[in-house]
Amino acid sequence: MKKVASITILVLSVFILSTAFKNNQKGNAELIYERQQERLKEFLGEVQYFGQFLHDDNITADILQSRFLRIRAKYKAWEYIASYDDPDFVKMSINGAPLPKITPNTANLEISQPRGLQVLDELLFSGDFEENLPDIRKQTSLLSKVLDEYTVIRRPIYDRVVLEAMRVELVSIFTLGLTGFDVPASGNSIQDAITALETMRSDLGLYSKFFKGVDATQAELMYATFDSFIEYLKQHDDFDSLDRLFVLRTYINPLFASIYYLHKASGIEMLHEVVNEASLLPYNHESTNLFANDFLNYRKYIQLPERFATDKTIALGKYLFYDPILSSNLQRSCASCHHPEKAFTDGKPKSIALGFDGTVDRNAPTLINCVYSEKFFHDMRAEALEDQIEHVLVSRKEFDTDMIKIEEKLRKSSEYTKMFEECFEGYKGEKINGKTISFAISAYVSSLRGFNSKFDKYVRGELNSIEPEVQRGFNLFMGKAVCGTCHFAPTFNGTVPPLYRESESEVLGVPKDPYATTPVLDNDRGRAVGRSKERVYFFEYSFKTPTIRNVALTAPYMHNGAYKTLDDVVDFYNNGGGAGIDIIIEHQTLPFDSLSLNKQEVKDIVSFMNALTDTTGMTSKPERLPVFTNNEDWNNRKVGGAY
Amino acid sequence: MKKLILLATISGLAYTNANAQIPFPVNVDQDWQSKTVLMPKSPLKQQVLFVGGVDDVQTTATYGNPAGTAKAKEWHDFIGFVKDTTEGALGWVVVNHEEISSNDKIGDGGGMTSFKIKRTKGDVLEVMDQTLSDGRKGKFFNVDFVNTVGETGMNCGGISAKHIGRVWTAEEWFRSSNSSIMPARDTADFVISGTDFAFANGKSIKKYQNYNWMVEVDPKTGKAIRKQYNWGRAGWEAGVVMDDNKTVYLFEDGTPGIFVKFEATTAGDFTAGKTYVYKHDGVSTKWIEIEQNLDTLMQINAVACRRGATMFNRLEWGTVANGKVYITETGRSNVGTRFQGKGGVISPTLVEGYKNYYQAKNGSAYGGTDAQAATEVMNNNFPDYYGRVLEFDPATETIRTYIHGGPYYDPSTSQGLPVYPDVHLSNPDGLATMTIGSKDYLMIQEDMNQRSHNSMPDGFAYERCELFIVDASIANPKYSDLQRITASAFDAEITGAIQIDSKTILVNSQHPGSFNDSPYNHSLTYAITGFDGSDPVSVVGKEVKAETFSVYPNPTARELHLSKVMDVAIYDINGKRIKVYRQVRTINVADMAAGTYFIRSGEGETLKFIVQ
Repeated sequence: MKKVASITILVLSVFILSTAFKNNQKGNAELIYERQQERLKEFLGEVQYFGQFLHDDNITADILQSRFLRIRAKYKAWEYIASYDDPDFVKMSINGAPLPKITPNTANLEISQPRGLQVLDELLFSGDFEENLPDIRKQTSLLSKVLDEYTVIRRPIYDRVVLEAMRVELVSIFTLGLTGFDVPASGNSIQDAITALETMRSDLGLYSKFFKGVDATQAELMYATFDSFIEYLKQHDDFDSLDRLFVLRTYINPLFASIYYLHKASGIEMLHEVVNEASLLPYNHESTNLFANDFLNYRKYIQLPERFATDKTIALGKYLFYDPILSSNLQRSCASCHHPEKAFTDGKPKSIALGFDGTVDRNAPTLINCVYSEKFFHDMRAEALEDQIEHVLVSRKEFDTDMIKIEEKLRKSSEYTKMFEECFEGYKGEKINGKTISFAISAYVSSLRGFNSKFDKYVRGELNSIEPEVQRGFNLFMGKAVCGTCHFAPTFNGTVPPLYRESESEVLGVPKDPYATTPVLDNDRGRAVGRSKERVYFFEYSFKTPTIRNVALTAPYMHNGAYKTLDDVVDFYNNGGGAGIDIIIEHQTLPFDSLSLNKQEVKDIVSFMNALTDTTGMTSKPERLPVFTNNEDWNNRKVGGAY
Repeated sequence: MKKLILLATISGLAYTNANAQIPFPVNVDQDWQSKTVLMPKSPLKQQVLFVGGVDDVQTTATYGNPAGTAKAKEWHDFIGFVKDTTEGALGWVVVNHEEISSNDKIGDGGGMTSFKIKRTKGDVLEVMDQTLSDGRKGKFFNVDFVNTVGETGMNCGGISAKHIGRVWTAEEWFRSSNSSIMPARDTADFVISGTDFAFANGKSIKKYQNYNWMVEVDPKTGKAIRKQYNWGRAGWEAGVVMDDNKTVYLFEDGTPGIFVKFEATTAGDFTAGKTYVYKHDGVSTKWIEIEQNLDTLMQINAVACRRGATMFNRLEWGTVANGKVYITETGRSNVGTRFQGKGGVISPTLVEGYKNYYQAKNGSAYGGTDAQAATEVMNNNFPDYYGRVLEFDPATETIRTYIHGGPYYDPSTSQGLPVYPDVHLSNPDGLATMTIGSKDYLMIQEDMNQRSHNSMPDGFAYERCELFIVDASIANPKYSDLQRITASAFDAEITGAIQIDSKTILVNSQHPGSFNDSPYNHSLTYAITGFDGSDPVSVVGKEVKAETFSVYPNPTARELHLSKVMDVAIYDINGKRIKVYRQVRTINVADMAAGTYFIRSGEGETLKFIVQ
């Protein structure tokens, strides 16, 4: 007996020794790979354990809620590498929004029902627990199954992946985590952030010696910032009162920058050295501030090839934008509905139609920063800026023409011909054609961008102070008022962080006339009548989430221009959107209940939005338009059109 | 020179102790005296022939509109080829359009475009000006379905029976109501009349029920010939006609998808004969006969499954090589309950797939019986992420997995991690044979189902599909037997590959991302020329030498083959690091501009290579 025991001990100690020895040889990334495998196992284990509880007859909501928060903690530890490594999987099966989606890559229109942690969060923390129990069981077994299957997936982890994933996770923590986006009902967001940060801090600890060898000062600063960030959140764990602006300036941005500097200085390769240029993301992995002008790579949203993306092409596009030669009656240009002094809107609920024949169907949106979108128009029917342009040309209420007619007209101007030849040197085929015309206009429209408002400058530290109401307004916007869960920072539109690849639309229940005694639903069905493959019930009355940048200049508001002031818009949200004025759409995506904002809070939010105005360098018009030598009467065209 | 390497080696080692990942300096002294490797321009030339949405097609009088011209449809999928040496031509090419759209001139639904090509000086192909028998003049012709046999939709694969010069198109997108063929304008009941099928003539069917039949077309007249009502209505993806000119095999893209055989009574006449469906565990016969009755044929999948047919997970294209039939089973991860309650039996290839998955997941071989494995598949416990290529032997009537898709693991690496990007075959879809001399090669084309689950080497990158060739005489090929020939534009599917002659293949790049440079932002048909009758694998020059660090130029695909799985970095002429690859055996440098580069191993050894 004794002998057996001692042999066991011997074997065990040899095993421990050899493991320790082996560990010594392993690199940080390999150790993190092992940790990550372990995290997946623990996450799965916690879900399975939770699943066992579900069949206990005496189970109560309280017990399940607290067990569920343990699942979340395991998930949050696994999240940062997993969601960088396989974002589609995490979004599809683990932590996607609790809304139905159209299944990608299927021949038929198929709907994917929502699943994962966010669905469970809602089922456990809102509604009737007894009623939800069958769904809770179903969701739990689904989650457990996909995680179990995922254990087959093995993928090497490199130092590069660890460091890049951490930076993306910081973006997620700020834009999705701390706003409450991924905990719609439990409100566990601060604890979630602490878990994610502690995990990253622990993994980063492995690099301590290494980074100190690279840049001791920077490394120590980074570790200290990490520690104080975690400590700060532990001390300030109230969702409503968390000072997110302080967090952004003091912790998020400095960490985002210092991890980048250390990564770069260490000589560890970066994403652009590993993948082809075409595979890079709209999220710019080389930016150092969430509110920097280069935080998103605008070129990833347009089709215009890089070699044609020159100042000359922008100038050509600007002429075309302001030139009524594009319209059938030679009186209307893009600028007819997009006035630069109004941030490229026109101040009208709906713009005047061609020939003063009523109005177009929807409100003219701002063009500034519009490039940061996956799809265009309020109903999201166009896939790129270049495709969007053609819709305007052929619309009977807008330009009432077609690309072939425009090509023919432009070719008659030697001035235009020369410009096209210069801009599109090397382009195969006719230099003035539908594609190059679209390219030029998209070059100009995509140049209308900038994050240089007072607020941006304050976030970046270029300004040392900003009004207290703006600070309060931002904190409400990103917290209690949950505006930031649809208008995502830093674009404040519906382009979804942390990779900013796709855009969202929302069902709000916007009335036809909010000032009527009994408001009724606006009958525009939005996205459900846009693309043929999107004709599903949950896109009925769904509209693209616009940016709130420059919103001080873009009244009136909403897709139908029904709201005259920002105060009215915030009131609408504060009361639960359509549901608050008895417009009932079951699939409304805005919370039905009141946000409980008081008057001062509404004012503060408006003050914050008003601090997002920036049209620097974007408002100038061309002084003249290109000449048509053989068509004298065309030369009377007005810059920007007659109306 | 020696000193430099030594220093790098020492610092590399020092680093290795602290961190096993090999570092590559960001900048290096470019004054290397290293061995030089030339990467000559590829002997394979790529030439764009037909661009969707850009080239004009000549149309017939349709829906009350006169004959005229329209921009070609897009979404190029299958390519059919019919040899025709008149006027010095090579033959007629016909391209499927896998879409369902409304079009006043071409006709609603999907469709096909036909054109005649010849070879001119310097092996350049030319699309010839033609006048068709109906008077249409031009280069590209719309195949008229509306005025012949009725519309088709989502024309995906087909049959290009080159030995008999006949072409059929298929429609995988199985329709189940008139609203599901929208935006097609014609939804009136369809009366079948004047066909070769007595059992069908005079029958009135719903308009959508006239979709999803195999349709024979004549590229030379630009007209559809007949809907093959006797073969059944299903989500057909493709088929093959055997050398006997009597036997046809058909493959259905569905879960469950069925495998069907038609045997003509008379060689060359495919209007009379018998239709069967495959049941691999059949006792006296493996083929269940399906009677020639329109109602039965219209729901051949449901009938077949009820009678116990073998159920597959999305069969795609097929081809004949060395007398055997090869079929892609592209897979689908969300099988759900699609197999349950249908009555059929799970395919042995899915059983093999499940066992493969089980071993990868658990690290040990599956211990249960095949019947138990089939039950696991039936119960939705097999996430079929990557698909496979199947081999059917008509002599023994057995079907097996020829090669599994998927980068599950590679035992040659530590931790059994997948090797990227070369060991990577996911969701095989298009399939064709390239015959050089008397040797058959398979051209396997990918169509990714997803980016997740390790389907793409760079998880969040765009989908990039590849065309591989493999020597079909290898009984059980490994990933290392696959040679990449071409990759599609980003987010595009690569499909339609077909051999024209000993020099040229044609390929389609389908639905590319709009961010690709013109014309690669459109679906298009292109030719790859230059095989010149030699073994396509050796054109690629894939020899492996037993040196510790060496690269093998690969003029075809511009790949650098490394002697083992390793980490390497590439530097430009100024010594600036431009690329780092980890755990690779092959590097694709096809996208690199001409110039001089250096490649450096983890040990600091360098080679100079010149891309011409």
